[in-house]
Amino acid sequence: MNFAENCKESILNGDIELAKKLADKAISEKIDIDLAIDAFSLAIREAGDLFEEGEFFLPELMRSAEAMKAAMTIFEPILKEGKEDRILGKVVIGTIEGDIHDIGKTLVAALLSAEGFEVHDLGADVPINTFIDKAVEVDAQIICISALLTTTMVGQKKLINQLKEKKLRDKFKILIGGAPISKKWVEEIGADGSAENAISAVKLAREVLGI
Amino acid sequence: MLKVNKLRVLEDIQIKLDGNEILRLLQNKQSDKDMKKPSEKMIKEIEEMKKLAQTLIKPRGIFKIFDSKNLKPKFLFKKSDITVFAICTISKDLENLSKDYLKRGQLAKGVILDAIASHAAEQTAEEVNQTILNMLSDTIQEKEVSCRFSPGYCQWELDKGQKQIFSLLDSEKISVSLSSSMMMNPVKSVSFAINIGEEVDKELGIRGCENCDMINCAYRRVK
Repeated sequence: MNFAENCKESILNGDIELAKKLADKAISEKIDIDLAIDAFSLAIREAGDLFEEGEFFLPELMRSAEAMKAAMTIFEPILKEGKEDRILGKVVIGTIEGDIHDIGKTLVAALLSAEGFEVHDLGADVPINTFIDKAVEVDAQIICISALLTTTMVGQKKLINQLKEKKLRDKFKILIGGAPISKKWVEEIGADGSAENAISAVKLAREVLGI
Repeated sequence: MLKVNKLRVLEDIQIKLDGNEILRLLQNKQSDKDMKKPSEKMIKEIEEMKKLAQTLIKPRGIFKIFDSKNLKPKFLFKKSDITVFAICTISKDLENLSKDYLKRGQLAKGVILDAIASHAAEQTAEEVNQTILNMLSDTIQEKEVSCRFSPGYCQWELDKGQKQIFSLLDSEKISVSLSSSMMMNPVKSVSFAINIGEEVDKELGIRGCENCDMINCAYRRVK
């Protein structure tokens, strides 16, 4: 098995220690970092596909994301130093105020991060203004708003209205998620899209940024 | 017949955790395929997490019986003689541990514990439901009993239903609170009603997934 295949294997097996070892090896043996990152990235996408096809259970996908994160953490100092800035985009994500459901949003954040997005996870029960202030502060391209209840999904609409009032709506792509969200709701509030699970959310994030 | 309008607390609730149900919650609901066979590693990890979870799950419940004619909305309770309102929970400890794991980046463990907690909450609701029916066995003879149904389902509006149940039951007895957005805290709690009468709609609570448009619901059983 060559180096790239080993990288892929480490992610698909969720082998955190092997992924770290390979990232260290890439640096110490001056292997092209792009080659390693591309291999890791392809593998995490394949893990996502396997989950979508029902071949992976959620913990297996999460273990792959953990391995990816472990490898990327080793590359981070080098990526920051050099010109090899491979950040796909900046995302601000959170669960809207009044709603303390956390897990769906956390999984989306983890997979976006594994894919190569810079993710600012604000947690749950996040006030509308905190989303907007953070997105402006970090110059985000995407705001992801999760709501798990029919009583809290109105917060997604309020956030979009607030952006319009502040004349900031066109600055961000707004993606919404959560059990009660329908296509009709996306259209009604003028969001840019919604995804039914974390894998689709990553694909959608790439799509809205034209990547 | 148990007295109407008297709050009862259920403390000693035993629940069983089913590994297959936990696996079902951990698979992609949108996949067309049947559930694949889990790896040995996955089964072992779920078993380990189950052992840990069992030390943190504290199932408790409360319930009260009401004269159905005093309850709204009429379309839900009109055919019933008496209605039981209940709230149950597994407490906050397991939920907190799952969140801790997720926060620390141990995502696999976090999602397994969350699935176990969801399953445990449903099992608690089942057990509380059954215990109530056992306690009411004299009353329900020759009567019909609906499946349990919760606010947010069966056209029972979430906000109205939750407000109604929580205003009538002292949920502090089991440390469950309701937020202004009608969310229960701990999240792994279930509130529900059971109708009992001569001609109740027995399938009220199970007329669910096939006709329900909540396609992303965690408990959806149809593809």
